[in-house]
Amino acid sequence: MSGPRGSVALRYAVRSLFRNGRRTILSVAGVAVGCTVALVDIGTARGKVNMFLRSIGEGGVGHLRVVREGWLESRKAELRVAEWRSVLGRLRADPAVAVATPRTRVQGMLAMGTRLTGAEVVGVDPATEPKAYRYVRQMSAGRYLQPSDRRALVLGRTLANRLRVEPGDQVVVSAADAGGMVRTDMFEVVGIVDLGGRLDAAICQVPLADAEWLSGIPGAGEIAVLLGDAGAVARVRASIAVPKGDAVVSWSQISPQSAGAVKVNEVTQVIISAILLAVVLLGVASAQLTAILERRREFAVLAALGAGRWTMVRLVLGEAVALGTASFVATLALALPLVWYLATTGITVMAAGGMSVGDIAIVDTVFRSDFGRWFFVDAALLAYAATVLASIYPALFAARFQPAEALRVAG
Amino acid sequence: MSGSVLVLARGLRKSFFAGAIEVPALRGVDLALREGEFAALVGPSGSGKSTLLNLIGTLDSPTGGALEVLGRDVGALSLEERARLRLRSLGFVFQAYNLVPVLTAVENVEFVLELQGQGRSRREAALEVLREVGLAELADRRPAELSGGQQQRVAVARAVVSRPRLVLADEPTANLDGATAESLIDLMQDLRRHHGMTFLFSTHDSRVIGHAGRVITLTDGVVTGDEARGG
Repeated sequence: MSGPRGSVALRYAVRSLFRNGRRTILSVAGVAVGCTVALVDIGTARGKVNMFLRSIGEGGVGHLRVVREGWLESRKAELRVAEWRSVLGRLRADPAVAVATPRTRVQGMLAMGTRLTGAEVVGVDPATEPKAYRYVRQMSAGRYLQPSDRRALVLGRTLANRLRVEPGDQVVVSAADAGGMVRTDMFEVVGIVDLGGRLDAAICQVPLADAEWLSGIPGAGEIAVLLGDAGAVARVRASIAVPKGDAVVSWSQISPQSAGAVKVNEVTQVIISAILLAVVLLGVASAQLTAILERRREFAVLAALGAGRWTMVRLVLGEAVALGTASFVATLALALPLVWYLATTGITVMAAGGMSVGDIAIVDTVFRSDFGRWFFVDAALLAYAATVLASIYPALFAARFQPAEALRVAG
Repeated sequence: MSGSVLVLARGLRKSFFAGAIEVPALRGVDLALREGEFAALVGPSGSGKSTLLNLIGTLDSPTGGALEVLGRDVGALSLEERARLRLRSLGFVFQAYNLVPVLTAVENVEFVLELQGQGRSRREAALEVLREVGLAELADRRPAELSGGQQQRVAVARAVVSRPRLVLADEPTANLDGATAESLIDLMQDLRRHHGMTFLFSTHDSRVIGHAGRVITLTDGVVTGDEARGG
């Protein structure tokens, strides 16, 4: 279909949409509804991934973590990051890094009177930990740790209830150090975190120096890193330089179950979108084929005038593109307010920490869909794919018309 | 009858099949059509006129015999080669006009030139031909806004706009009243004279037959008469 812009073929394609206005409106509406459902689904799935990544990142795992080589396989608490202070300094100077905070973990025993409970005691930097671990911002009693604190303890409500302690109480904390000796001291409960669920049972934080003392091994066992852009994990990970013997691991390596949950979500979304697209595609294909059959004589005449097979295909696909354009506009009109509402206002789903998906403890209280440039790109791709792909068979069907036979049949 | 031979049929046969039953439409047509002729194909319904026009127009394939159109063996041409031959060298006028309803008169004519790949001048060329058929002022009307005679004039304009060597018309006046039919035939004759085209048209209409320079009679799929006239 060579020729200048605004060619007769183009006018033919556009005007053909209005031959049977009702059918065109139904086709456009069908594509728009299908694409809208797919876009809401995509936005929701992307929103879920964002929520998962936020929950994983801010729920303690971090987006990246600097650890000693071999930690990923052994998960041994006694491993320490080499030159952790210089590594931490470099990470904090990196513009892609939102927060970097050191931690040291040690398995301990907490006692209050005759009440005992085991816990993973986590040594943290009180200045940066709340920025990296969202839950410890939710103090229900007392306060969070301060940089000047020594032998101070923040507990989750579940542990506090088990020990029947409140802020100001003294708890005996014991741990076996690297040499096998048991180290014991009194720690003051300064604050209690209440998440209203089982998640706070894992919270037992002390200043980093206290954890170093309890474990008998100086240094940080890990440096948790939160990124400004959770989607930039691979890029930032590759750019972080660490001393020999250390390693940078991603959240998906630390928590493969969480990565699995994200993957399942993504795959499910693709399958749902594909099914929706297929349903829309079959509907449009049926309407297009009917339209072609109704115009059998017209196509026969065009063939008689010398239009070749590919010209026929291009004519039908030209109509599909015109239909796709109308469908794209209708999709925008329908889907934009919906996805925008879900992305800005969102849906209140729960109290923070009240729900987990797979291995992911959800930190958000309001679920928000995703919205961005992808919306317009996907809307166009879906609308045009639904109409153009659906028209390929009818186009090939039209191209196979034998002009004399078609004139005889239609005549 | 001094022009070169445009169409040469020898023992041309065409059969249709209704299941296993063979229905012969042409039973061995011998015919030569020379450049510049204005020939009428006559005969009763079912005599094979449309079938013969379709074969000459490369819209259909012969079952037997030989057919050369513009020096090309029709039986040996691929579908794409036939389409190119029709696009470049043949024009068609149908009984039912068969204009594209969503295009205006000038767009219907222009479309053929666009299919040929012609550039910006095609609109002017289409308007020029519409002027020749006396419809320049109705160029922007759609077929539904034109009378039958006007539509057939547009169809003739569409058939001749690419200056084909051979124009085939299947009962072009069948749906027109007598005066309109004669005026259409006059128009076709004028175009033949001015542009040197060859016309072969089928008809039942005795008034139209009177304008033909040659009358070929087809009966039961064979040529039973071939008479040269002064027209």
